[in-house]
Amino acid sequence: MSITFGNTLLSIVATALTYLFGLRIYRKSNQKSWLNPLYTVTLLLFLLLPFLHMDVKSYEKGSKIFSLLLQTGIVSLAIPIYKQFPLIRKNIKKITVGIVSGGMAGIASSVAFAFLLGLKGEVVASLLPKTATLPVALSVSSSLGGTAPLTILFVLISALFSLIVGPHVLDGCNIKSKTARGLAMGISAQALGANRSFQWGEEEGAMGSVGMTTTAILVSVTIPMGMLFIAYL
Amino acid sequence: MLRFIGQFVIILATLAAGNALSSFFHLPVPGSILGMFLLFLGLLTGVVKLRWVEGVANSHLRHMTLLFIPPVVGLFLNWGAVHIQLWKVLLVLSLSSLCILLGTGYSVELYEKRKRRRNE
Repeated sequence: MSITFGNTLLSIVATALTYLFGLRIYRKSNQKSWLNPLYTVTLLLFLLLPFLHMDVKSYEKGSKIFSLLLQTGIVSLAIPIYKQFPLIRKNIKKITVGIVSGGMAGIASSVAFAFLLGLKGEVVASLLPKTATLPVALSVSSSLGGTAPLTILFVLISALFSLIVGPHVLDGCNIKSKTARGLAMGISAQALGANRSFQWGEEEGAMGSVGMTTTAILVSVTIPMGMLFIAYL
Repeated sequence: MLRFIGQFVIILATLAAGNALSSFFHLPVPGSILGMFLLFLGLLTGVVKLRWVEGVANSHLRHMTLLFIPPVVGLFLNWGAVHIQLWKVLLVLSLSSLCILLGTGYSVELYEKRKRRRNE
């Protein structure tokens, strides 16, 4: 019992302290995107944990508390959604058109390509909710039988890809509408994309964050319902 | 500090209510997401005031990254046991990201064009 407790404490303290250190570096560097705490802190912990005599199992056990905080994090998303509500209501049709076609294109294409390439069920389950913002994607994927690490990896890879390629694709295809550009970035690259679209302007940026939050809602409701429907058939 | 804890208790209570709803009615939607809807409805109807939860929610969302670190570290420490074909996954991820970008971009642009034509 006391060993488990000590392990939990050590995992939390090590993770939190390394995070604070990583955050300091990030802020000192004027928030360079490649110094994002997610990369630096992961690398540091990866190097540090063997010295603390921690193996994977005890670290994963010890850091369980973070998954509770992930759930309260999802609940907290209600606050930005509430603040954006007037904007959402004003543009409800446009936004619905955008997130439904974007979100469905994302889910349908993932299923189709995954099926063509013969990916396994666990991988597909972690792949499906990737257009939702990370905490929501995690909770949907775990209810489908996906794994947390794979889901995080997939969400991050597709967000980075969309962040880098997105603006070129939108320019190349001559998509000029501010709403279209903001929504596309917010849906495909979530927080990173919303941030990027703020560089284009206020309207694009607002649409970027609206795209991110509304897609999270769409994914979190339609995927579990769809699965239930398929199971019923 | 006390105010912070009080705000967090409200969020925790909403989460508990969401989880209870989800398991009681056997809903497919995760409890945390139902909790988000409950809190949103609470704010919309004025049952919950924004200033009761805003502080803790904002700092919570700002430090969300911290929560993703343990699983990613676990993934790398455990990389040998992960059997995914990386090139296939990368192909699926990039193709479907392109579909999302184009699907959203073209549909919204088309919608705006049609609306403008109708107004003229």
